[in-house]
Amino acid sequence: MTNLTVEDVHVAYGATKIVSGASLSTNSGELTVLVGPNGCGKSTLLKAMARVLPLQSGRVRLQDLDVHATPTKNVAKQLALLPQGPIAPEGLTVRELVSQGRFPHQSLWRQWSQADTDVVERVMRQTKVAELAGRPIVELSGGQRQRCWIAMILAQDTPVLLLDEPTTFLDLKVQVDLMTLLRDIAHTDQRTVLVVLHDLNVAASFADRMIMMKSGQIVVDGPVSEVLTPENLKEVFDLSADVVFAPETGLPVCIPRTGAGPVTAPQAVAL
Amino acid sequence: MTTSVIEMANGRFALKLTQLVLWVACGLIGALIMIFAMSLGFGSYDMSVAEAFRVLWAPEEGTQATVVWKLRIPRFVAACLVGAMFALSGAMLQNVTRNPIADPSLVGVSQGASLAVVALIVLWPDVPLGARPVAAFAGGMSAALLVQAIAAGKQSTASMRFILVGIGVAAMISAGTSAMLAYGNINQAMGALGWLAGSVHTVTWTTCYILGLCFAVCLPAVVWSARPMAAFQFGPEVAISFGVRVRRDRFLVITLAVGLAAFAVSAAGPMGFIGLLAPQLAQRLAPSGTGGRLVLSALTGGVLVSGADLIGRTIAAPIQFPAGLVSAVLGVPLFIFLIIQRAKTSQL
Repeated sequence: MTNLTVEDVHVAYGATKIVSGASLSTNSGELTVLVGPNGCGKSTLLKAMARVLPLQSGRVRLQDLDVHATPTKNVAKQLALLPQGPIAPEGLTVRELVSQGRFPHQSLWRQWSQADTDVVERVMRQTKVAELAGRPIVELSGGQRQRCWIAMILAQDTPVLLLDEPTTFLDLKVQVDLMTLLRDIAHTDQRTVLVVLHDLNVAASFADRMIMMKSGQIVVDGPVSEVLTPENLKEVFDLSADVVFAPETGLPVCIPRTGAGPVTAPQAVAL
Repeated sequence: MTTSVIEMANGRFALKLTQLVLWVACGLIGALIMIFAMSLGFGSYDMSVAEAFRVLWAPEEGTQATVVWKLRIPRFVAACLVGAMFALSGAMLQNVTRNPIADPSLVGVSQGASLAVVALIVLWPDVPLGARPVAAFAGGMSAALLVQAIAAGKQSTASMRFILVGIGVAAMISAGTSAMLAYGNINQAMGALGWLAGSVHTVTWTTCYILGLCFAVCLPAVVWSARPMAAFQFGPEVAISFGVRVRRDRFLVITLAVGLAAFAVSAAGPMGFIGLLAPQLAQRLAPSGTGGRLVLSALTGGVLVSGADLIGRTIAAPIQFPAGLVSAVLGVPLFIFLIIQRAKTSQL
C-alpha cells in the first residue's frame, strides 16, 4: 500500500504560474484519471509529482517520503513516469526497451540479474508484447509501441505509476485495450495508477476516480458518476453537454450539445 | 541478437553484452594491430615490416631503431589516443544533445581549445608543451559554458538550440584564431598553422606521455558515464523517472566530452569529423547499448586516425597529408554509403 499525496502544490515556469494550490491523494488499487481543458496544468502537475519539475511550494509525498527531498534513486524504485510521446533510440528492440525499465535496480557493476530477466518476461506477457520481443520498436504500430512503453515502466516495478496522455493519437479500439490494461494493473496488482487523459468518455469508461482541473486548480475530485455531470462540464470545460448512461453497462457518457437543436424522430426517419 | 551476461562473484558483478559487439571489438583490435605493423614498416625511410619488427624486439643503435622508436611508434600511439578521445567526445555529445550530428568541432569545443593553443603558440612561444592540454581544456570549457549559457532557456535540453548556438560560437572563435594568425609573428603563425591542420606527424614521446596521462585521468569518468548516458537516450523526463540526477550528470558528461576533445586538440590540432564519424560508424557496425557503443566508438576512432595517418604519409611519400584531412576525404564517402544503405531502417 503506497499512497501518493499532493499537498497545496504550486508550480511555475519562470513568472507564469501553471499550478496554484493543487491537493489530491491517490489510493492503491485505483485507476485515477486527471482531466481538464488544454493548458489547465494537468501535465505540469503530473510532471511536478514525478519530480521532473521543481515545486514553488507545497509537498508531494509517497507514503512517508518527500518526493522532492528524497534521493532520486530511491524515489525511482517507488514511482515511475511515462511522459507524453516518448522517443525510443534508433534500432532498439522491444526486449531492450522493456529491459531499460530495470535501470533503477541496477548499477554500473551489476548490469543484469536473474530477477531482471524474470520481471521483464513477466511484464512482456502481461502487456502482450512477448511475441514482439525481438522486433525493433520503429516497426511497430502506435498501439503496440505504447504497450512496450507501458511494459517498460512496469518493469521498473514501482507501486505508483504516472502516465501522461498514453492514448493520444491512437484509434478507439487501441485506446480501450490500453485502458483495460492500465485498469487491470491497478486492480489486480494493487498499484496506484494516475493517468492524464483528454478523452472524457474513455476516461469515464475506465476510471475508478476522476479529477477535473481548471486554470491550475483542482475543481472536482470523486467517483466518475459524481464528477462527470453537465454542471461540472459547463464549469470546467465551458462545454454544454448531456450526460447519459449507457444501456448495457450503466456507464456515464458525455454528449456535447451541438446547437443544431433537438432532432425529432419522424425527421430522422425521413432522412 | 544473442545477448550474453558475463557474471562474476555470484552475480554481484554482471556485464551485459551482445555477441556482435564482442566480435566487432575483436575485429577493430585486429585492424589496429595490422595498422601498427604497417605503420612501423612504411614511411619515407625505407625498411621492411620484418626489419622494423626486428628492431622492435632487439633494441639497437642505428637509424632504423631511431625511426621506429622515436618517430613511428609515438606517432601510432598518439594517433590511436587522439582518435579514441575525439570519438568518445563525439559519442557523449551526441548522447546528451540527442542529436546524431553533434561533434566537438561543430559546437565550438575544438575551436575554443584551438584558440587557446594558438594563443599560446603565437603570444607565449616559450611556454612548455605540458601547458597545452591545460590551455586547451580552459579554452574548450569556456566555449562549452558560453554555448550552454546562451542555449539554456526554458527548455535547457532543446538539442537543436544547443547545436545552432554552438555553430555560431564556433564561427566567432575561429575568427579570433584567424586574427591571431594574421597579426602574430610570421614564424610562430606558420607553426600554429601546421598544427591547426590536424596531424600527428610532429608528435614525440612527450606528447604521448601527456596525452596518455590525460586519457588515464578521463578513463574512470568514461566508464562512469555509460550509465547516465543509457538513461539520457530516452530523454530527460524518463531519465529523471529512472532516478538519474539529470542536471548534474548532464553537466558532468558534457565536461568530460569537452575535456577529451580539448586534450586531443592540444596534441594533434582540431581534427574535425572524427567525433561525428566514429560513433556513427560504430553504431552501424554493431548496434549496442551505451557501454558497448563507447568501447566500439573509441576503437573505431583509433582505427580511423591511425589508418588515416598511415595512408596520409605513404600514398604520396615524401609528401605527408595530415591525418585529419585524409580521414575526412576517405571517411565521408564511407559515411554517406552507410547512410544510403541504411536509409530504409534508419532515421538519419
